[in-house]
Amino acid sequence: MISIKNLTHIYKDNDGKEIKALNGIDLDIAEGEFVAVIGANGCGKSTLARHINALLLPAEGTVTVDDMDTQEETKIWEIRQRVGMVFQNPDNQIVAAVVEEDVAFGPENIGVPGLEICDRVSKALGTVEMIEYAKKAPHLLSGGQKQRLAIAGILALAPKYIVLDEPTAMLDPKGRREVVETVCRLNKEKGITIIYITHHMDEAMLADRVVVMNEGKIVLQGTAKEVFSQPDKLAKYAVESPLAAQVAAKLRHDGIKIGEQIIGNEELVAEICR
Amino acid sequence: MSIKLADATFTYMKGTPLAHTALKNINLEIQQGEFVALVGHTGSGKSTLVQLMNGLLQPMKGSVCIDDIDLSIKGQIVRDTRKKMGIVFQYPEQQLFAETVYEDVAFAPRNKGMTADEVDKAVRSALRFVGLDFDSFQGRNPLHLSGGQMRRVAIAGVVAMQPDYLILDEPSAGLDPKGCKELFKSILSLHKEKGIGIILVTHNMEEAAMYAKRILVMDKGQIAFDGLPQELFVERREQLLMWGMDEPELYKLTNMLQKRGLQLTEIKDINTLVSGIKKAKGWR
Repeated sequence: MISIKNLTHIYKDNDGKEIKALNGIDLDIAEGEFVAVIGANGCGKSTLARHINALLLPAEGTVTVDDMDTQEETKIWEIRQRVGMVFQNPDNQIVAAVVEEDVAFGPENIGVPGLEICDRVSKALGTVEMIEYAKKAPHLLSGGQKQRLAIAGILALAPKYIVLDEPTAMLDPKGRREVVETVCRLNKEKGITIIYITHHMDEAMLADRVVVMNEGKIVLQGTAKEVFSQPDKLAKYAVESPLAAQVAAKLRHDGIKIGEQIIGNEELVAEICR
Repeated sequence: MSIKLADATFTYMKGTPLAHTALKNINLEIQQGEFVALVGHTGSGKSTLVQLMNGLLQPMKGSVCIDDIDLSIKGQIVRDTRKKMGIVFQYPEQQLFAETVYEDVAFAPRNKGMTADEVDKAVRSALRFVGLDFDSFQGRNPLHLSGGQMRRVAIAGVVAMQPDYLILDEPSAGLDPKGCKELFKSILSLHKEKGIGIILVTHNMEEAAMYAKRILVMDKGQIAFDGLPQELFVERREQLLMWGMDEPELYKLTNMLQKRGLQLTEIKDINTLVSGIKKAKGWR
């Protein structure tokens, strides 16, 4: 379990003024959960992500991963093996000239025996459906394939948790679908805990829990239905609800009886055409 | 006044075993007053096309003309013509370099040979167009602004060159919905008030549907579709998915409702959709 208590992160702006990028965050993430984190640019989402695997350390409060405190220096490497991270730009995460060598880089670094590395690499590539590209050069892959390669690199380290920071922002629609499907599969089939930062509401809707951040604080959380059925409230935090939720809210506003928790196209159509 | 490609073909690594033809016999004309969206999956040839349009790449075959000047000839006239094309690459904030917003935006107009007065005017007007207040932003370090603000400074740097055409490659990637709206407000005002032709390269079909009056779909190095947004999203929706694109939510929802027998016409945005639903259902 990941447990974040009263987490505060302070940085200095160019005038030397202290700004709280995170301001008293309390968040527990259970094993096997799929949590989406959404919010405007600059709300602290990415800062929060970097605290989970000790890339950043708290100014106040604590972050613990399976009861290991990120501020304990001796625990950092263990924490980083359990919490993998995938960033926005796939090109910044690829280190080798051949796909399978790129996946092997992580396990090699932590001293996994040779034969087991081979095993882990082929399993990881299998999971992201990239086996046929094992011998290819990463720079010839599409964006979606590169992101799946980055995920495979993390999987080879056998993490319990994966934090993805806007992994689809640079991808075309097909690449987005590939990455999103892969992430869902990791969660459902492999039981890996997912923390997923995104601006795409259709992706956030797939999560068990949606956490909305604004100005360094968690301002709203709940199931996708609970969160996205409040478009007016979300708009205040510069977050857009799915179109169906907006249409439902407008119809309700005009006095038409539409269910409170409608956020998807299918349910809205069913409700309207009752 | 137009961008005109005639039979343009481009091959990467020509003459090697890795040769890859990124564009095949492209014929295309874009008028200065247009707002065009260029869509297509990764590797479909969008970036190559854009680079041909401002002379960063030369076609192996065929020609590219801007306002009737062929970009393949040499000399001052081509250098001047290329300055009519402003291009904002992906993640333009990574190209910010100066110590103040003013200096960063002034860089291109100075290089273009404008006088100090002209440069000053160009910087002021460019910052206004991207919605940044001159007095509060001009002296700030561009690298210390928020993501959305940095992107707008970068776009101002291109706008200050006073181009006749502006190519934007994924200008909203990574911006939150509010940042996107503000950005597109700026882009629309450039288009409407200054008459700048806009070519928007995007993976986001919502944007393409909402802002462009003409959509080009690239597929396998060719133009697979060239026409109105409604035509693409309504009549050609099956092909759209085949080309690796997504259907905009508005059209998806409208289509689902129509399939259930609702009479919906002239759906342009969420408001027309809501009033359309009410009308079709006889709700008041």
